[in-house]
Amino acid sequence: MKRCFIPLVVVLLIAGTSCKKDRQANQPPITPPAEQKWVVTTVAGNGLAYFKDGPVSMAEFKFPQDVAVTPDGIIYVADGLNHRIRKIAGGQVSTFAGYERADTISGIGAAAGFAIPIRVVPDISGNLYTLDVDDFRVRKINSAGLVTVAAGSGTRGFADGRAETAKFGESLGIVTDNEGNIYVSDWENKRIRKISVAGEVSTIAGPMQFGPGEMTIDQQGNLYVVDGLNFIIRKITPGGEVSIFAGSGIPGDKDGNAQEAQFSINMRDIVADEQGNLYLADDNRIRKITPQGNVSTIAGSGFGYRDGDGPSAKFSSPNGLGIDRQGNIYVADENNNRIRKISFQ
Amino acid sequence: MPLVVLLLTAGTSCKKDNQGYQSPAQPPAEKKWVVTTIAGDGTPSFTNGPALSATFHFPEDVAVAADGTIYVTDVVNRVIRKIKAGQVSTFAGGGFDIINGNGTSASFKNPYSVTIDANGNLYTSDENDPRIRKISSGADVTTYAGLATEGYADGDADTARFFSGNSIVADAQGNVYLSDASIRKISVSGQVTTIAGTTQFGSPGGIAIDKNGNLYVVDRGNYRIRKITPEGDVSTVAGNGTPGDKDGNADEAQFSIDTHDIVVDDQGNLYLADNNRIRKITPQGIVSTIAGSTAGFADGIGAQAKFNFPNGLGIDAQGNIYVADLNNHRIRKISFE
Repeated sequence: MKRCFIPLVVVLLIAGTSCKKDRQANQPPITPPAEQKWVVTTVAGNGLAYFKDGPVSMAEFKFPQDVAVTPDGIIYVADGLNHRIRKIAGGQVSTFAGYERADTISGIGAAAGFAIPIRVVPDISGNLYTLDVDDFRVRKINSAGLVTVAAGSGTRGFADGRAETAKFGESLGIVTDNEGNIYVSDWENKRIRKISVAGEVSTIAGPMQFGPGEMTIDQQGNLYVVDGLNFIIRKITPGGEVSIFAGSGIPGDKDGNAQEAQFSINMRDIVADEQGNLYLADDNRIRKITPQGNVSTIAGSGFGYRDGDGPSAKFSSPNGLGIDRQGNIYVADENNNRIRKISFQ
Repeated sequence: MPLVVLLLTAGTSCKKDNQGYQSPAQPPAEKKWVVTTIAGDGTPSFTNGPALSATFHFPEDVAVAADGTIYVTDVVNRVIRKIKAGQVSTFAGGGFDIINGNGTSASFKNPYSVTIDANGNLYTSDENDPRIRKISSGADVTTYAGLATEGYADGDADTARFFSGNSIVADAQGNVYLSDASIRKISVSGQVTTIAGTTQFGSPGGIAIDKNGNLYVVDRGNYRIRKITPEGDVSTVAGNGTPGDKDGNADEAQFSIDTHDIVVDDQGNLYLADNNRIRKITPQGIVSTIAGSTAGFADGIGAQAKFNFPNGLGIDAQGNIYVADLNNHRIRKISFE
């Protein structure tokens, strides 16, 4: 995401100088460019918890859990209680995979089933990977809507090895790297699991003190994991070194540097932009953490529904986040049954 | 037949005849399940012509007519393809909607399950529409049953309601059975009834019918294969109730959570597409894996062959099994030879 702004001070000086120079005529002062800020809008959903495809403002979701944006800019939604993955493109919402009943079957589009899809993430090739509450597998959806199993035998448990026979417990986070490897926060087994491109499942971190939550990755391959019971964000390097990246360990809402900042008791999804800034859904607010660990609040002011300036906007249990290549953040605003967008403009 | 027994038999013949040197009878070569590709070059596309260079785009299901003609539901291309005399052509379909008519003037949304009766009529379900369509051997496409709105209602076929994307099977007469939330029947006389209810099955999937009118249903939610007699009695053929890949006796064997279509041969053996493998279940409920292992593409014998999401199955009069190998965009054939 580009950030181009001219500090206000410099501009005023220029305006002042011009005025002095042209004393002979009445010259209007040069208007400083509007300061960029975070703006929240609604992408799709009319707010009612039902199921409807069609134009974005009329479409309906039912407790959307997560949102992902593929490299082509198409938005996908893990529409939890509608048991489907929805697609938003060209101002229209459609069903990409799944049908009206809770199911776990593989297939194309409406021939596939989901129980309660809670996570959806893209890879660099435009595939999606999903986590589903009643299904202890990682599933893959290709750009044609074919749903297959990426890893997991289906039996709940813990086993590394070949993807087809590996076992996972209840998992809360998933992300892919630039080579196509998949990382899973296996909350129940308190481990970070990796599914390699070659189809081998291994454990790269853990067992940890508490189960790892949602997770994202930066361009260098460092993982950032929500440790919601410690109110911190952990960093795991490609070499497997685990450290605390941000958070004082005391719950709250204080912004500040990595050691001082506080996160709430309700830390949810996390995404990263190409510069390594992290964005965290944190109890009706969206927090930003810079690569240096400085934490600020970019949007959200309490439970509710309001578009507009970041600080005045409202969300209701923003559960899942997605991000596009321009650094726009998308929010599965669960209790508003809408998909929201936060842009720096 | 075990080698030992044959040699003894040969030995006995020799003693009985005692006329001279008799060469021992050769044991017949053990038969194996051989997997070949009969159509599709693997590229997801839409090309007609010679079968092995033709292309499909996610073939979901396959049905075989008495004369050996093969029909395929080609879901992304939204058409019914036909394979005959080594050539692939488009049998019906061409737009994106539910439009009746002849051949390519008719239209489907996403044709899903296909089955055939003894007169060569095809019946199809659609992933995005609840109606069951009928396609005559002359390619006339009509609506066989169901309203355009999803739901659950028995009665006259015209006003009955189903959900979309059901597995279906036709008996010789043209009665059609559906795995909907419950097991439904569309009779040739135009009446829809429920023959087994939701409490007896957990997520019914693939469905087959034998020549005696027994239905076989993949009970996906309970990881079992169930049988329904013409009188409506439901029993379990095989499956221990937990997901897995174990072969063995009826009450030991396991099926995965990714089971798809099922077909039955004239001896009552069942064949099931199960998580990249084809399983066989004998009438006694003994389960074995006859072909496939992990996802991939390879022709060959038994476990050396590979499928990539075998979805729909068909069977011909000789008991050869046909596989809509979904993610390989090919039609495969499995023969016992």
